[in-house]
Amino acid sequence: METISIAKDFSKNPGARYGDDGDFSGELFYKELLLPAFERAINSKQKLTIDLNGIYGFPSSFVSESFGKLSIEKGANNVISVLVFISDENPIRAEKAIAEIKSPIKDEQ
Amino acid sequence: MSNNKKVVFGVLGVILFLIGLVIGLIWKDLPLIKFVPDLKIYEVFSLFTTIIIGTIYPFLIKKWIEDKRTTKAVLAEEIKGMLNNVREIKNIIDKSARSRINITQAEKDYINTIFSDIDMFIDSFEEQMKTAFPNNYSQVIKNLKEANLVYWKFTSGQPLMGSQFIMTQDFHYTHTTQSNLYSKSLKILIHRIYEL
Repeated sequence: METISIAKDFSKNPGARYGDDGDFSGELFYKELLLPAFERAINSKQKLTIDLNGIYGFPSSFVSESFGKLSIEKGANNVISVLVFISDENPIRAEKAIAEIKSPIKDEQ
Repeated sequence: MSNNKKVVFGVLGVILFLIGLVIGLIWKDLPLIKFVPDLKIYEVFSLFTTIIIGTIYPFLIKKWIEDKRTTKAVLAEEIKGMLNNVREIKNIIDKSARSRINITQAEKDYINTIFSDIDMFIDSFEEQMKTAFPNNYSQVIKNLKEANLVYWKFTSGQPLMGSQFIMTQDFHYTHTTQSNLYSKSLKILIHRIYEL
C-alpha cells in the first residue's frame, strides 16, 4: 500500500489553490502526487494512505484543489473507498479533507 | 526529673483529670435509645432515610455537583482558547485592512497554524465531552464542527491565501461578519455547556 506524507513528500506548509498563488499549491500537489498515486492505487486495487501528520496546517483552498478536485474527477465514493487518512496529531484535519471529498467545491473564488 | 518536666506532667495530669470529669458527666446523662414496642415500621424507615440523606448529600451529591461544575469550567476554558485563536486571526486581517498593507506569506502560514490549533482544541473538547457528557455531546460537537468548517472555508478558501490577494474593504467587512458569527456560536456554546 502506497503512502503520501504531505509533510515529507511535499511541504510542511501546503500553499493555496493554484500554482499562480504561490509555492506548494493544491494544484501542484494534485498533479504531481495525488492523482498519479490514486491511479496507481486503483490499477493495483490497493488503498492509498495520506499521512497528514507533520504539516503546520492547510488552507481550505489547498484541500479543495487537491482532494476536492480528485472527488469531482473520480467520484466521491471511489475516492472515499481508496484513500485512508492518517492524522494522529490532529484528527479534525482528516475530517476536513473527508468533508471536502464528500461535498467538493471546485473553486470558491 | 527537672523542674520543667515536673510542670509539664502536672499540667497534663490536670488536663486528663478534667477530660475524665467531662466524659463522666456526659456518660451519666447519656440518653439511652429505647424502641417503643408499638413503633411503626415506616417511622423507623423514615428516620433512617432522613439520616442517610443527611449523610449522603454533603458527601456525595455535593461532591458530584462540584465535580460537574469543575468539568464545565474546564470545557469552557477550551472554548475560550478557540475564541482567542479566532480573535488572533481577526487581528491579523484587521491590521492589514487598517494599514492598507497586504498580508505577508508568513502571516498566511501563521493563520493556517492557528486553524490547526483550533482543530486540536476541538479534538480535545470532543474527547472531554465524550467522557463527561456521553449522552449529550454529539449534537454540541456537530454544531461546533460545522461552524468551524464554515469559518475555515471562508477565511482560507477565499483568495486571501493567494499571492495576488489585495486586501479590500469588502473582504475585511465580510471576514468581520464571518468571524463574529463563529465567535458568537462559540460564546453560545459556553452557555450550553453550563446548561448541561
